[in-house]
Amino acid sequence: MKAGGGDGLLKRRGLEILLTAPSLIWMGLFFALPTFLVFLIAFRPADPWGGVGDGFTLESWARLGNPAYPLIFWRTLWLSAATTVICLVLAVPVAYWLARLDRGLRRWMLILVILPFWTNFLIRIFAWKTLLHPEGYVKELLLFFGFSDAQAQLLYNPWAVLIVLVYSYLPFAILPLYAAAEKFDFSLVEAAWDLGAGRLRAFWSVFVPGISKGLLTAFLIVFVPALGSYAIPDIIGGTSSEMIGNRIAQRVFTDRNLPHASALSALLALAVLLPMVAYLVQLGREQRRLRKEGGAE
Amino acid sequence: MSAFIELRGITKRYGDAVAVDGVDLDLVKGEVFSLLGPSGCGKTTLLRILAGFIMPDAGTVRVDGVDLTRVPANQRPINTVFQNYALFPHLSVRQNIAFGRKIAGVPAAQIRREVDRMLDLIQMAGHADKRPHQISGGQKQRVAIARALINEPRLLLLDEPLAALDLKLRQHMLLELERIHRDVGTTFLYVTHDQGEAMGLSDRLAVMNGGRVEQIGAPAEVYEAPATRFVADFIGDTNILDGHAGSRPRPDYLSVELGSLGRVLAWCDRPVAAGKTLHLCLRPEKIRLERPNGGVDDDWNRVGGTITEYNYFGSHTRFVVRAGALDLSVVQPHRRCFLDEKPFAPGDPVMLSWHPDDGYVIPGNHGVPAEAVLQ
Repeated sequence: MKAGGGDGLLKRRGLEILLTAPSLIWMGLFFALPTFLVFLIAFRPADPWGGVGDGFTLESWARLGNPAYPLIFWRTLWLSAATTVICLVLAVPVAYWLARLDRGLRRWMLILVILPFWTNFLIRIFAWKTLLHPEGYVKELLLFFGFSDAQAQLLYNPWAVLIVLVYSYLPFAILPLYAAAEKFDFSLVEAAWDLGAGRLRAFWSVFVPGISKGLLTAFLIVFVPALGSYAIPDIIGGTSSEMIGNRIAQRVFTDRNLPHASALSALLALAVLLPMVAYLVQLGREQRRLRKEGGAE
Repeated sequence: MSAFIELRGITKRYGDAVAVDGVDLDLVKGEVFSLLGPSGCGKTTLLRILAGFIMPDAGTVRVDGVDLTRVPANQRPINTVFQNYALFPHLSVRQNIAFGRKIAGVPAAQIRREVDRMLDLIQMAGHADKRPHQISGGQKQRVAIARALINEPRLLLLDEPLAALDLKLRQHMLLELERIHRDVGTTFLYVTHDQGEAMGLSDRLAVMNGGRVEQIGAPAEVYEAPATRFVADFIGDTNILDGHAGSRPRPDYLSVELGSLGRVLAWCDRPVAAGKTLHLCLRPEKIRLERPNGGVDDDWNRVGGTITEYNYFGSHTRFVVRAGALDLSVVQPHRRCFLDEKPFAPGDPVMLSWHPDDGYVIPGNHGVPAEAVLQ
């Protein structure tokens, strides 16, 4: 009996490993290993032919002291943060609205949300370039209504980059928030109304905390890729709106200095990973505390 | 004197379906009033109209003389206990209870005092800092009640509050609700499909069917004198026998032709034209079951039959007796030890008898109140 139970457990364990193995191998080969290599190369010297030399050096890390970098890092950070905040602020009401829509209509609206993905990413960015062009529709529209003068430049500045970043990442914010909103129990909003809360108050104090997991997912799914943006600032932004991604590309393709590019990448990775690790540690602590308290359940 | 809560001609349609169909209702201040009916009868729609979550297509809602029909939910002096409790999962028990007071802008120190009082009322002072997922179903229920009552509503709406609890807990919570009502004296409107809850808790109740109110009355009235066949059928176990009105051998009594069962006497103080189709409503526990040679009082109705089935339930035994072309349900309490008697068995011939006062006549036209048809 006991042996049989143990055997079953062993079998279950084996099955578990078998089932998770493909994703583990995939993540190991294509995520963990490359990340490790990037960190490794950052400590190697560059060779004159664009390759990686032997031995270890901190030279690439010292080069991060380049006086141009703090500004670019700051710009990367605020552009990504602003993109994330704007995307979330726009996506939360959309998610609420989608989740309350009747099923038939909701399906069509969701298709509209993912419709942009049917067009190639680069083509959509070039489309924005055309729109924001000095002779483009947006400019003409603004001129027509007197919101802009003929000299004003819409393209090649951080604001243009921000607009296109928000445009590109908005669906990525809407989808996880919608997934959370769909599971949200809307009788809680009714309960809040019933207890005297206005619609806005009920939305803020009940709906938004209720989809906090979706908010976290949306934050990660927008903020992390936004930090690594390369194509958008390259095409829309020009030299005055460079982000770290552009510098990394420049180090790889123009300077052919892989260790330097790796050091920049590693720094960016740390900027993302450290807060995430801190969050996970905090979450673990919280859960242990709740489990200890929740003796009743 | 106008009623404390007054509903007039409330109607709500969803497309072609009428959820609530011209309902009039008056609630007395401080009473426990139940809306009782099967699912889809419109009771929940009516509750949501009172709460302000949906607007009626027609009709008015007045509370203490004030027209609230178009007032939004958050500005009504009415609070709700939701079926699934709808406690805010991200807030503690204390914060949940304080929610309404915080929105009302009550100073923090006063909120703390009021919440403490509520926690005492629901006997949960030791659980103030727990989250909803850390407490049991019955406790959640009590928190939901406290969260509503702390706002001192004129009317407390309870939407099937015990439906999610198991039987034992349901009985306990019913007593708990009664105690809370005694303590606070707030007017309760209790919506349920469970007649046991409605009968046990309410001062008065309304039985609803198909968006209409079939009958309003005290639990005993509704049980003993159902206005329609639907009410007789829905409340408790009943034998509903089809028949025709016969003569009036005595004032207030009517002779009823029951086809294969012959002629019986029933209490009926309303005028009924002879020959009218009607139903005789006979509660199983009012029928006496005896051996055929048993002595029966002269003025009792008597019908012979044969036992076809029986089920022993401890407190009583339920028999099915074939009488004429009908199967009658008969319930016998155990007055003395069941085992002492020679038990009735399937196939035994028996004599059924009941007092004429225990047979209640309801009109033949389904769904139309008695007064309208019998005249």
